Amino acid sequence: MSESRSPVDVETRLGQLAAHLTWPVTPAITDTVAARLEAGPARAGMRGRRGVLRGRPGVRGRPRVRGGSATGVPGRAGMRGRPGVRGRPALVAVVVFATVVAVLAATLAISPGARKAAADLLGLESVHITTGARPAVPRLPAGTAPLGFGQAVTLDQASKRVGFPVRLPTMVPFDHPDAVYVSTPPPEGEVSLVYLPRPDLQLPGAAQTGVGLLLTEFRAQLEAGFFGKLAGPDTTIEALTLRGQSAYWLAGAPHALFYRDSAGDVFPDTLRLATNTLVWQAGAVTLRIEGDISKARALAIAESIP
Amino acid sequence: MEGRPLDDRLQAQQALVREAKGGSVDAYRELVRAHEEVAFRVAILITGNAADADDAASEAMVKAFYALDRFRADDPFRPWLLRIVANEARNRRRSSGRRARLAERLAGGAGSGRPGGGARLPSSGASGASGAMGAAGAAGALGASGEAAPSAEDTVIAAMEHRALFDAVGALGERDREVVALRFFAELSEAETAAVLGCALGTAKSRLHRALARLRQALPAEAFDV
Repeated sequence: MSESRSPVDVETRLGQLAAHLTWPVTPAITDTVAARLEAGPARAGMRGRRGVLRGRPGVRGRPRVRGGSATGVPGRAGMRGRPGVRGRPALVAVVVFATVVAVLAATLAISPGARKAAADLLGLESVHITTGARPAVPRLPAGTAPLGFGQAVTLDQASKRVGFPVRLPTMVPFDHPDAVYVSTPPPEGEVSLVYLPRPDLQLPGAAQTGVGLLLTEFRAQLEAGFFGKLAGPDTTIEALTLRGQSAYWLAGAPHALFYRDSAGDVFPDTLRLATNTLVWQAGAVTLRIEGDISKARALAIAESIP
Repeated sequence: MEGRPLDDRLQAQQALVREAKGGSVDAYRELVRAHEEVAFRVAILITGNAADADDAASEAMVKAFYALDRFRADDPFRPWLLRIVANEARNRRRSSGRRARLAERLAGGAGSGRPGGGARLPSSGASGASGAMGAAGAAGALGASGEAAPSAEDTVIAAMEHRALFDAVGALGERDREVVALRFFAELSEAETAAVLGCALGTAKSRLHRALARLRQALPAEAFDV
């Protein structure tokens, strides 16, 4: 690691530098591509990582399958282990985009001043370089990692990034998230407030992720017309109102919900914890609580958010 | 490079390519899995952001599947695929050209000639809260448990050296920067670099050669004195 200062050829040094570059996490391209191919050739033209389904909810834009593909590829190769998916295009879209995660961070373990140099070099707007001494960004213990929370940030940074003030419950201990993340999509960003399990407070960790509670906030409108129809058989949906606006309690293991972004496009957003979920609207912002908790508790937490 | 010998892996890959040519999505899925990372990195070097890179790589992989009948199974698959990825990424870069041009302007790159070795952004030190965005991506924040930490001193020295080099690469012109980043940061072979650049192997080699020469010039002995 401690290369001497004696002249070393630039190629060697570039090779060493490369070892110190941390790239943005590679998204689940394989899943995206496989699902699109399995959905058939016509879907290959469907663009956009969020599976933008333009149009009104309920109008399922099943693309016409063109008469025979040029390559003779079967229109729908078997979707292994996903019976019932065929013929349900919107659900396919969920599968396609379920695991797509963009993490706009490239890190390089060097000084803070080099941050912009990195951005310049790669032409990235959001390249970041880490230093040994990081600002106080709380982080989760290794092993807690669910996919796709994005970049760890402070609350202030999160608010700046998404352009609206991130709301915190006033209920203890949810007034202090253990970690805060920002990710895209949606284009304007999504804030994830992560709470570790608190067995002492009857807050268990979700089975797969080890996260106790997740509060997600982003600018979008709920699109119940979509997600109501697409909830799996194991999910029950209850329509509620919270402070006069739409809210839904989803019990079971909901897979994804649908929202409409500020451009009017409907997009699915995967639930991260696959646990009970409360989702509601607060003005232009959608908030969502996921966790292995009761409806009453979820509502209490939600109502403690000013 | 561990694992099976290269020949075996190439043969396994060729078998997958043949199956995929026959329409097997499952076989193609394995090919995509083996290439998604390099495809994404190439795309990000071209598009300049992860979202577009994701789109471009995915779109390219889908297109490549339908173009497989034009691919000869005995040819190397990776350069062929990466070329499609690069084309798709360029299309996207064009469509989000405004952003790219902005980044370029910030970099003091194209158009303003070659900036001096120490090109810095005016705002460099005070990049502000949003620029200092924690920097811990999911990988850093959540998955960084495995690596043994080097000593603090080593880290500092290496960091200074890396920074000087990184700055110098960043100060190259766009064409030089691109070829160096593809070859050394995305760690492509020369043939793959040529495929991505859409030029002949010899052309890619000489572009790289010239870029490295300029890089050496830009790196005086005291370059590490940062």
